[in-house]
Amino acid sequence: MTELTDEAAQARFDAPLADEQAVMAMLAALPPVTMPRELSDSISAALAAESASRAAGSSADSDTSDQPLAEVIDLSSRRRTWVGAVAGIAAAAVALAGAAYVVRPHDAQVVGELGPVLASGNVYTSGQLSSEVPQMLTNAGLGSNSGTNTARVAPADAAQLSQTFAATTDGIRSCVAKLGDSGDVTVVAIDLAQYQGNPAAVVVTRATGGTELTATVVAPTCTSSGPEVLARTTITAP
Amino acid sequence: MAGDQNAKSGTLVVDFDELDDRELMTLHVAGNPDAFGEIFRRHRDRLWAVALRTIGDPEEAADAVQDGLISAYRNASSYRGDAAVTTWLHRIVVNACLDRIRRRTARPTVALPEDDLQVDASRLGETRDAMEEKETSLEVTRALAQLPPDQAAAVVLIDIEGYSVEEAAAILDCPPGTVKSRCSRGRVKLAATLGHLRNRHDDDGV
Repeated sequence: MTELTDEAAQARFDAPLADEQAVMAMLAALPPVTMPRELSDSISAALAAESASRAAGSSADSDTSDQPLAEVIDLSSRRRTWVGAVAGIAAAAVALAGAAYVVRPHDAQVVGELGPVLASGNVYTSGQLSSEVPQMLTNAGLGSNSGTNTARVAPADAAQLSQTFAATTDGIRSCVAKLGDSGDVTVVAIDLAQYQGNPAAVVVTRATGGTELTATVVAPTCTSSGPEVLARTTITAP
Repeated sequence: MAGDQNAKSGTLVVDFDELDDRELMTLHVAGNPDAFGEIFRRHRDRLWAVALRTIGDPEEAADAVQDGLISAYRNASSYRGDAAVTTWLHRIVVNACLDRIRRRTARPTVALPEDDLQVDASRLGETRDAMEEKETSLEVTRALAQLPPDQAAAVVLIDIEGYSVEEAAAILDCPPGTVKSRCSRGRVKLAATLGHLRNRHDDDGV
């Protein structure tokens, strides 16, 4: 196929032939695509890690406008993996016309009665939370279709609780407040289990007025200095 | 919602929803840890669509988007405000895609698992139509992946994402005439590759 000259190609752009018009129609009719949830969560976690680095003073920001906009970065170690450290919500002062403004998202506040703390024995896996967590909720009798089935997930006992943030109500509230939600949430359930073979807790929350649930995997400590978010995804309530 | 005055600290708390992209970029450059994340949330679907359609392979597209966004995060001070934030972001992501394509020694035919297209199922109608639409989508995406990268990028921005020639020129950082010629050449190649689909669409009255 002989390539069009620049002049001919530009003219053809403004007056496409029938075949090209058909192609344009096909292209315009392609259905929209949405970013996969796990990719979105992975990128959000990576950006949060950048924030943490910047806050710690080890930013790699460039100050020169000559810096190439698309530098080559070896992200093989981060490729769609979860980042372990997430910065706490820190305020930054912006001086505007002599006034000081602090802009921050609202720290999540736990409202209402706390859901049960469970010990399912599950070993959750990366990329499967969106199916594994609803199944756990159903097995725990927390799904809409659980019916009168006897719950098959045992509550966590004192020994299991003592090693985690879930041992006290204050510990749960402190952990949830730092997970990155921008509004008030209800704790639907907490499952003390494993993630990728390591001890972890799955915190299932629902934003006030919302219908979707968020499942956040955290380290068992989930200290106030850093919740150590291991994974996070939105799930459909069972 | 107006900013709420915090009486104790004397500071003004503002809801991100009230800020436009440029204001969020200002905050990000000033050190706010969440402003860039808000920009990402607003534009992630369109950035993903451009990357996926341009590069063809979902895994490579995911890496390109992540590379591009982290680069944008780190180099935000280079954003001069003359273009829209979304144009600047798209430029970075498209460059990341083109860099990846050019680093390949060849552009193999990419097998696209149907699920990876993340098609919005609410737009699919009858079963037969839905299957045909999905098949068409796959064939078109495969054909796009075979175009020279510069032509693919122009076609994606103009004929799929609906950007104007001027907007596409700003994203691709080239003159409008160049965008037109790349897009036109891409359409000609696609017409040759996808001619058999035209007959199907003509029969369906599309």
